[in-house]
Amino acid sequence: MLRYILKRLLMMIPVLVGVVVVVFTINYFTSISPAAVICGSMATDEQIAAKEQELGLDKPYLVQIGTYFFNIITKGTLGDSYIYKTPVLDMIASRLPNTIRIGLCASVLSAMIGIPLGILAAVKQNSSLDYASTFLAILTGAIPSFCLCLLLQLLFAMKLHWFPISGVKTWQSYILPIVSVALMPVAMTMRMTRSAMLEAIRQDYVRTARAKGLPEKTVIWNHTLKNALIPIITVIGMNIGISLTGSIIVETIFNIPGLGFLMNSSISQKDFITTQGCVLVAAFIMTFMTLLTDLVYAVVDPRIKSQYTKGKKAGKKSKLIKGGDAA
Amino acid sequence: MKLKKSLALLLACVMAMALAACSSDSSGSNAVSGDSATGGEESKTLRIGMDTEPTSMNPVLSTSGGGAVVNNAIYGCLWDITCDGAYNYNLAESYEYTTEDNTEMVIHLRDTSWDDGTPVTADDVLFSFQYYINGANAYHVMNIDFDKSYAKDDQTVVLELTQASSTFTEDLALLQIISKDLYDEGGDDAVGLTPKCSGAYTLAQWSTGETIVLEKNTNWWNADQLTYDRIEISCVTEETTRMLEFESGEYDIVYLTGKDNIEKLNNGEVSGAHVQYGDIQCITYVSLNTIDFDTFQDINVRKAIAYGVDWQTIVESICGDGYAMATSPLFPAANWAYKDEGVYEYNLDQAKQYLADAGYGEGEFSFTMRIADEDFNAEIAEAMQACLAEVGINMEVSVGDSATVKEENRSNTIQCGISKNMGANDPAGVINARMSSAKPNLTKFGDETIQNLLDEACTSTADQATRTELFYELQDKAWDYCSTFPLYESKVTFGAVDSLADFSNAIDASSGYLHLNDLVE
Amino acid sequence: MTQVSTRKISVQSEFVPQKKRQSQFQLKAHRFARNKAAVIALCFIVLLVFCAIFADYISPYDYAAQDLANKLQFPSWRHPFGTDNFGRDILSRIMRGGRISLLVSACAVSISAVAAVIIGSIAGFYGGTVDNVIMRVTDIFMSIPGMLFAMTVSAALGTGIMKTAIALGVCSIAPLVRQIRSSILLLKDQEFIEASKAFGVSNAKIIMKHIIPNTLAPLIVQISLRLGDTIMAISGLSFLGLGIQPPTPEWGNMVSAGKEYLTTFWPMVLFPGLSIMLSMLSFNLLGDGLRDALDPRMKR
Repeated sequence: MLRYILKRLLMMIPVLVGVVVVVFTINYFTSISPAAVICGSMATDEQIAAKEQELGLDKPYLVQIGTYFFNIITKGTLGDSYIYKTPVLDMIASRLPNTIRIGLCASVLSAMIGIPLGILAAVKQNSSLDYASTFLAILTGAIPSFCLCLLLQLLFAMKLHWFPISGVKTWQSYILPIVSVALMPVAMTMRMTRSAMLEAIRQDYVRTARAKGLPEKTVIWNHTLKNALIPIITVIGMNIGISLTGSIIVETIFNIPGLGFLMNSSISQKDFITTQGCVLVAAFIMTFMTLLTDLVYAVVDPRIKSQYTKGKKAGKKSKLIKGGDAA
Repeated sequence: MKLKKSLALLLACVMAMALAACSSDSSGSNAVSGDSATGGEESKTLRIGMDTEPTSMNPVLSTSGGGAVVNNAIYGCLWDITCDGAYNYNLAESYEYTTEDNTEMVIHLRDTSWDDGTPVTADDVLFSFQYYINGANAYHVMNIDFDKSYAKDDQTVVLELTQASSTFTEDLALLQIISKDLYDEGGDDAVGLTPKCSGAYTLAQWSTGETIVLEKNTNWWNADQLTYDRIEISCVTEETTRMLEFESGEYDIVYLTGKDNIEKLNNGEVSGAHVQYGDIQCITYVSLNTIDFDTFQDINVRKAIAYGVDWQTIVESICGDGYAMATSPLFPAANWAYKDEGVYEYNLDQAKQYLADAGYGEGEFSFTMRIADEDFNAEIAEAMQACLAEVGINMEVSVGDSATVKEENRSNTIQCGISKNMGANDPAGVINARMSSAKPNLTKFGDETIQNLLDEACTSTADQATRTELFYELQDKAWDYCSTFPLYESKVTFGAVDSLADFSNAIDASSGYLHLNDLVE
Repeated sequence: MTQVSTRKISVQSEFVPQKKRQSQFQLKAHRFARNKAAVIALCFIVLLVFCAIFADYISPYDYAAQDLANKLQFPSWRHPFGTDNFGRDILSRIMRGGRISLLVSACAVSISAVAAVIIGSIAGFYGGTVDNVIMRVTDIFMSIPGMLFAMTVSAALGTGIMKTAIALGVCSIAPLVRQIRSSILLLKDQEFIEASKAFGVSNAKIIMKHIIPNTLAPLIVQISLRLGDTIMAISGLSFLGLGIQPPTPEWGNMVSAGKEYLTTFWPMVLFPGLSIMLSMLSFNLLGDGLRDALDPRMKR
């Protein structure tokens, strides 16, 4: 198991390297030079050239990207922001906690709403409750995030004064952003839960359990839900990954100093090195979440666990031997 | 069962949140509460809402609005020049030119100290000027010959200039004085993160995403006269959010640019607040690039544009109250070089005639206007487009973000754009971006005579009467040339609570930022 | 002998009723029609496309005509959605914006669909190292959060209709590649493909005749869902100042312009926001309905 985890961690590295290469290449071929933006419109050509030299922007592609990686490995730094001259890592580190707080709480909230709704819809399939909750879930998922934020801000902060309008001064100021970020994945969570549950309910072992005379509650909870967990975990893992990497729009409207906000401001100011750093951190979080999700699969489903521990061939054999019901 | 449990849990959470939120103290009305001070012996606090967060306390590197306000407060400059043209001497007591051709200046410093008690010396001043060469403000100090300038004694600085410049004192007003000892100790980082303050306030608290707190600097020479002991600055980028905070009483002063917000305050829709204008001596104008593009070579085409757009109506209806129509192609009315040229008269038939004279039929002439999405640019561009369509001219409007458009301006790929001149007291400072030596060509004149006259007027060090003559002649010629169309005189706008007195004396004349050290009794 | 057979045939033609055979398409259309939500969604989308194509003819006013004297009017008979801060009719701008949103969305999804089909088929069909390499590259692109990636590309390319379409198209390729590859992998092991190979049919022909038509169904579902997502992404980008900029009307930048007036004049935010929401909703429901109808394994 440990070997599997280590192997996966090592495999994350080429992916992250690839991410940096992609983002760097995109920024490299932009027509606007960051040096020109920083020096301002009154600057002369010589000043801009000097600035480019100072920032290392005049060197060829491979040298620049090589230096970047070299700095990461040897000095542990992601470079200094072109505009703020402070280390990118420090800037991200000071902003990441806010984003993570909002992301985690929002994921928990959306799971808390989405999963029960999905179970309800699956159990009472094709009833009016099913249609109503499905429709409600899709509706909340379709609201544009900026409209939602503006609406929440206007109603709850401005008119009712329940929460502060912006910033992160008190814990109450986190509530509205959390709700905004949470409402969007609810739809996907709910529908995934519903379809996974429906899939599991159709299985023969559920029919057997019902035929055995088990109470419905046990059938749903012990047999159906546990087997439906894998797709549900997938979608939750994905949602956590997306929420954690910062909803840019929510952070901009509520003025939360987080990763998404930094991303937005660095793009508009052409501060490419900060953008690269942010994307790198975001990609790291996403791949880490994927790894965690896979590990949770192993905890939940012994079939998968044996795949990881014994290797693929042995895993397939044990899968055949153990057979269906994992409850 | 699990379903019921989780629903119950959810309900409980929602109720708990609602209870907690309700019990927190928050003002219940839409009115803006007065200042949070109770006056007298208790400390008075001023709360300000700015737009962009400071990036560093190093004034050479600072590029944000919030940063500028903070830097102005914690660092002293030699003197401040405010909207009414007055020189408020800060770290300097006086200055004088010691040679006829104004190439040598002597500055007498005040006997004052940094916030830790060490005195501010002439060495600090010289060091600061040299330090600025590293930053984007280098052009302010380019005239100084550092080899020949020296500190005569602790309180006297002698500056040797490579050439005289009429805007020199204004340029110096923008430079903050940094402690040489601090830099020697800790370099750029020390200056940026743990600054030594020579200004009216010291930096008490600064961390990302939180309010910046400034406290009165008791070592400042005029500390007793300061109205406020404590200043809290919050930075909110989104103007909508910032306005909402102001309306619920979070700030005493808020920096505003949105037209609707200003209208709201002027209409009295927010009780207890009003608009504070700051005249920053800056005009916004439309410019045709007559140097890089042949499109506008024919004077008839330019005249068609000049007389085919209803400038007055556009400015009045789009900018609204508080913005005056600019009536000179170069200078705002408050400047002593200003000459009233009036407004280009809106005459559709004559414009069509000019277009015909130029040899273009209806819809045959077209060009592109490239603007940044700020201020009233987009609205004015659209209004212009509509007017010109009636004349038979096709104007395309292309909007981009500020950084991109600035860069395009520098590389001279813009055919027509909206520009602002730098605010300044000396007329040369106002129009020096149009000199032949400046890089962007958009605001220059394609006519050699006019351009040479401009260069001469800007670099002249003659007396005011002679220079006035030059500037008047320049304005007449520019007006007739029809390549630059004045729009409105910019003002910087703040929302302020009614309990605050007029603070236009604390608004910087060229940048519009607040000089918190000028908020004195 | 002949007599017997004639009698036989006549009996057959008189008494045995013939069963009417429905084509595949009719079966699926029938199943789709039973899903009322999907049908309503389809109607809305047709309406949207109609408005988009004929916007110039059916919109009550010119979308760019300013009437500063009548600015910020609440909805009335003359202006069903009100007027904006320039006095322009909001309904006309929404129609025009719909055309732009649909156009950009369609372009972006076509770019990503074509690219994904090509790449995904190659990966799924050839397997081995080619598959591995393509999968690793897809992993890289998929670990960059969607909005971030779209913003980076959009900032690099610039604002404008075609550039936004390209930016969003590039960003959606990776997930689609995954999708297509997995459906091809499922197909690859089916017996009829093996049979074709045994017959000596060339790889290219197998791809063209067997694989692509069978992956079409999930692809169509994905395209429908992606159209909705892309419209949302466009409005998000335009709201942030990238994407499509004024004066070109686009639902996202209309909301951005209207947010200043939110407390006093809500139509500028409400109507574009509602349009985005309804479009997204319709494409989602349509995608769901298509998925239910086209899946041959559903036993409804």
